[in-house]
Amino acid sequence: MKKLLAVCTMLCCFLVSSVAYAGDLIVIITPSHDNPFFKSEAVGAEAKAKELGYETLSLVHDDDANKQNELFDTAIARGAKAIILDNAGADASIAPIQRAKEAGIPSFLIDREINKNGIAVAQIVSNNYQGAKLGGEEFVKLMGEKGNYVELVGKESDTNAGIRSQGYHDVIDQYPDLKMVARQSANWSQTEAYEKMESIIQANPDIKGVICGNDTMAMGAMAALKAAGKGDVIVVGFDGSNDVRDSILAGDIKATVLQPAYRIAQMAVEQADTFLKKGSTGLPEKQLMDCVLINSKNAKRLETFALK
Amino acid sequence: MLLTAKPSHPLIALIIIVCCLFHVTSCTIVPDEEKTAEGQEKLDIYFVSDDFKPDDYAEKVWDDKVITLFEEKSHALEDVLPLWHKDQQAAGSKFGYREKAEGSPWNYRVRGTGIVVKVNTESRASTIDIDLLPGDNSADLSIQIGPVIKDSAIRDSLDFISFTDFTNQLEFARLSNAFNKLVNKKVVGDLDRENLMGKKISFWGAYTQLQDSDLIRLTPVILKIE
Repeated sequence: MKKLLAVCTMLCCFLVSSVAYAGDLIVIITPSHDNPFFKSEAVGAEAKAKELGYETLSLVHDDDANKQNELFDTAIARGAKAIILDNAGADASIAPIQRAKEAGIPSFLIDREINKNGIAVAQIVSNNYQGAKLGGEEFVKLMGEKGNYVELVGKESDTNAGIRSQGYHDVIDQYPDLKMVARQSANWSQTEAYEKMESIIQANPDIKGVICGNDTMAMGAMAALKAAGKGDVIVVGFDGSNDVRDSILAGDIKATVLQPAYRIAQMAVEQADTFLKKGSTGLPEKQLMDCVLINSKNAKRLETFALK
Repeated sequence: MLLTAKPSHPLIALIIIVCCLFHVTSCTIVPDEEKTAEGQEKLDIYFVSDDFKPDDYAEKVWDDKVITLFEEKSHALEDVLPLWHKDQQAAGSKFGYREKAEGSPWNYRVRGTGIVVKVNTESRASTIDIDLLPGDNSADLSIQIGPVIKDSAIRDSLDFISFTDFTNQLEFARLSNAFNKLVNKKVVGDLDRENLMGKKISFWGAYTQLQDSDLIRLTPVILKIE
């Protein structure tokens, strides 16, 4: 897999290098496209960049900070004009962004923030706290304000995992009859969520609900629950992917929270373009984008991380 | 281990005793306000550190900056309402505040006087409904009276606060909670909650535009009951 990826990356580099002179280069770096959320970001950024006359190079760091370092070296070596980044760690990403800045390449962060201000030009993130409170309130309502539940948390290196958990608990903990029986990280991963959920079910047969930090974990949890004959357990996710939309429409997962991932990626490219032309985006560095609750009422209108 | 060990020399024993005493006296007991009434364990949330003290921050700006801003720069709600019910975007441009445009709801700093026409204290997110004067017997807004306070209306209506000034979303969320805690402590904490019906009330506060709703859910910073 890794080898294949390396070959692909090299091939991409080669392909792009043959046309790089046609226009200025914007490098787009995201986590693995296995998760449709990140793929949507890359596609959104690419589309907008091409529309504005840029060449693009889309790379994935697979949530590996070392690999992200190498990708930054590539971007710097190739003389990128700007980097659009969904990063591989709120602390670990500070150094490479700083290095790019010193090399004269501005970075525009999407989805995930870093724990330092003033080195990226923009950090456009979903209002995860607002979104998690929406998801939490819907979960409480679905649960009828009582029962045992499980929380699946995201990746520890990502502030989004922390903030969503905080938002869920700021709502759910107001209800003393809702009891959390297990809380584990499944690292945003569908397969990991499936495996963790399997063992949680064995230890806690009387689960009424599962609240998840993202949609891929919700998909994994739902699959494990159905396999155990517990398809009626209430599962809530976060992201607004087409997979979860279909699951909601099929009556399985009950709700999720839409992050405008596609639009955020496009905004980052627009701001990069403005910055390159005018020397400033005219906007604050850190920008929050509000999320929208998705349930059976509006799921039909959801398509590729946007409401129609 | 330590308890069963027998120091071979009285001096060593003395040192150990002094150390123990020092250790004990150097302890400070800090009440844990984050613990819920049900005695639940405090959750471990990634990236929450004690370096940032949101309660201190909120307390520091409350009297001089927050209250002052509302006293000096808030709109009479009756001026906002006609446009608000017609076109929320237009009302936002004219009366609202937000740090940036796309993907952010409008926030409003408003004031007014009215009569309490409904008291909802069954939910922990208690509210009172207000009919603005001159009254028409229908509620124009809800005022949150806690203890659960929804939204981040206070934080998001303060034009001297920018998300960029904070390390991450965790800090920014905790700041909002700290403001809401102060509302509980300083604004609604002493209310005679069960005897509010029919009272005349003057308010200064903030509300945030909600999704798909024209409900005004105000978080108060000043309440005067007559």
